[in-house]
Amino acid sequence: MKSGIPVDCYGLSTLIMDNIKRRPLRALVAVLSIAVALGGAMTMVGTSESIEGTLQKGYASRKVDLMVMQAGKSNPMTSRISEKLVHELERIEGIRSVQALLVDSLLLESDHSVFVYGWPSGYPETTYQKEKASVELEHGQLLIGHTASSLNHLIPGDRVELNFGKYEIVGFFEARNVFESGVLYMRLDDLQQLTSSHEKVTFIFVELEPGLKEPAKLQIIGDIEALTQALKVVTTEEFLNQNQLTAAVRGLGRVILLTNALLSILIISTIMVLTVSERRKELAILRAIGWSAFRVSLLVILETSVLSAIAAVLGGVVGWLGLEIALTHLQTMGIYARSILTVEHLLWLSASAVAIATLGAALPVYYTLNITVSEALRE
Amino acid sequence: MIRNRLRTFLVCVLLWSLNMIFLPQLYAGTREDGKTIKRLNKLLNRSGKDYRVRIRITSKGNEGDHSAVYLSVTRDADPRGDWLLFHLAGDNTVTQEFCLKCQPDGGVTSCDKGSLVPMHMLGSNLSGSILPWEEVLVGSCGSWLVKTDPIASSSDDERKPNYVVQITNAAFDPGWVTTKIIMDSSSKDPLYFDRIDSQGKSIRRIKVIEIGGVGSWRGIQRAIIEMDEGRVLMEIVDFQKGAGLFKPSREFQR
Repeated sequence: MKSGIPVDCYGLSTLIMDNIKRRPLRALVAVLSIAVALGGAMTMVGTSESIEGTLQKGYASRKVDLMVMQAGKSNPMTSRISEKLVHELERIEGIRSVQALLVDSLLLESDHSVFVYGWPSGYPETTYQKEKASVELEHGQLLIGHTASSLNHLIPGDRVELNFGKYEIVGFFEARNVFESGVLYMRLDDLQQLTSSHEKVTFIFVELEPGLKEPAKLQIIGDIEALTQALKVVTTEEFLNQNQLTAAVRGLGRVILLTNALLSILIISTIMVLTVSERRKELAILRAIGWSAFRVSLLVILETSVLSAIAAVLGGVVGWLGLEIALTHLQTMGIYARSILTVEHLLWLSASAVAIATLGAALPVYYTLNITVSEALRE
Repeated sequence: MIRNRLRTFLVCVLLWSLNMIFLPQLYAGTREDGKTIKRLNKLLNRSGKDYRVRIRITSKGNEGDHSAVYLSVTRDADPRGDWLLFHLAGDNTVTQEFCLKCQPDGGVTSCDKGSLVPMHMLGSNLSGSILPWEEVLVGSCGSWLVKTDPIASSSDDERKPNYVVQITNAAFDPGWVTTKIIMDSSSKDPLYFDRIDSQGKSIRRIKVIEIGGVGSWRGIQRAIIEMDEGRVLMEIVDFQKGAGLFKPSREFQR
């Protein structure tokens, strides 16, 4: 019987399921709308966190605790500091190792720009495998990341022009972080000569002695910055927070998260108000047979929660698919990142569903509480 | 008779409808042209703003000689003519610095003596590069007026230049007067700038590689200048808005 009037054996859960089944299209629209909204937000937030996470892992594998660069540069890639600082940094107590890097954006084949990293010879980054032996990069030679290779249709053996200089690609390198797969490696002295940056580097990566306490770290930062006024020292976390790409994706993710959450609340609220208004008589009968206002409100809240929970699960799947698509698309732009989904993400998704259900149920509950038995039965 | 009138009426309505359909397109075409001219004017005219820009100039001569120098230009905007501080540095050049003033009516004077920039400077190249100074000076002090190219406008051939740029300050007139711009028909961005002398001969071609932003700056970020002597790549590597004031010297010279 589908009169909507509960039989005695009906409990809350039976009533909720019965009501959802009675309005399948409406329930489907509500679930899909919220799922898409949650999934979209999850894609954006997940993309930003995956990029940051992959970058962080890359720096961790390179053992970077601090990054030294030129002060006053909004774009860190334009930083230029003296390569000689490497020797001065090595003398500071608490510093285990230092690594210099020159980064520049160069014109490839007079057509488009590509990032090139210049590593000092002798670094592991300037070696590659040739006939099962480790070989050092020579002058005029390049190594290419896999993303850069597929984007630019270049493979080892190809000869390329970079800022009018002629180079030969001799091998691939394994990228350690998100951006590196889309770049080219060359010897530091080659890049310095090509770009007229004699004895200049962009960053100096610093690895600290293990187990250093926070005051000791701050002391080291102070010591480095005291070397010359033009220096700025940041931790890898600070550097990642300043990164324009991750900051832009993170910012956009937050805006989408907020607007999508508001949209979801509006959708669920509207649908539940509609449902409640159609069931005025049924709810009045429930009150008449002795259900308390709290129990009737609970019915509405739980129904909203069930729809939100289904939407959260579906949104999770949509978000995960969206994340994979977004990361694949980013890869075509030379930005390599692994998808990182943690328990934290699932908790965040569940919390969002609970928040949407609670806020979305507020208006329908208010509407329910205003139903008087006499009025509803008279209709 | 009535049927004929009805037919005439329907034909009139049809023609009028067709006219109404094409009218917005014609209007959109004109508006698009106006927008492009406005954008091009903004892209080319840099006067009146304080900034510091760092340009990397990479040259490759026909002999295969390769060099790179950095030219920092600090612009101190002034209604009576912008002040420019040039700083040339790099491994392939001798570090040098000098100050010039762009006169509003045309011409470039030295900041301290108020005299015209020696004309031999206009004819010479940047130290450590094959780029002629006139290209830098015209780029810095020239006021440009973008117009539609009457030849290209009457032709359907998209490969022909769509716009003509004319320099409005007279001091630059004698050498080369006109620049023709070949536009990308889809993006409506410039692809090439052809410098044409008074005899109609192309002096050099500037190929636009990248239009983008460096910090708060937006404009031509990378361009290759193709000349008889070789190729020059100009890249904006750094830009600081509002960092163009070098007042002490300016106040002193006033």
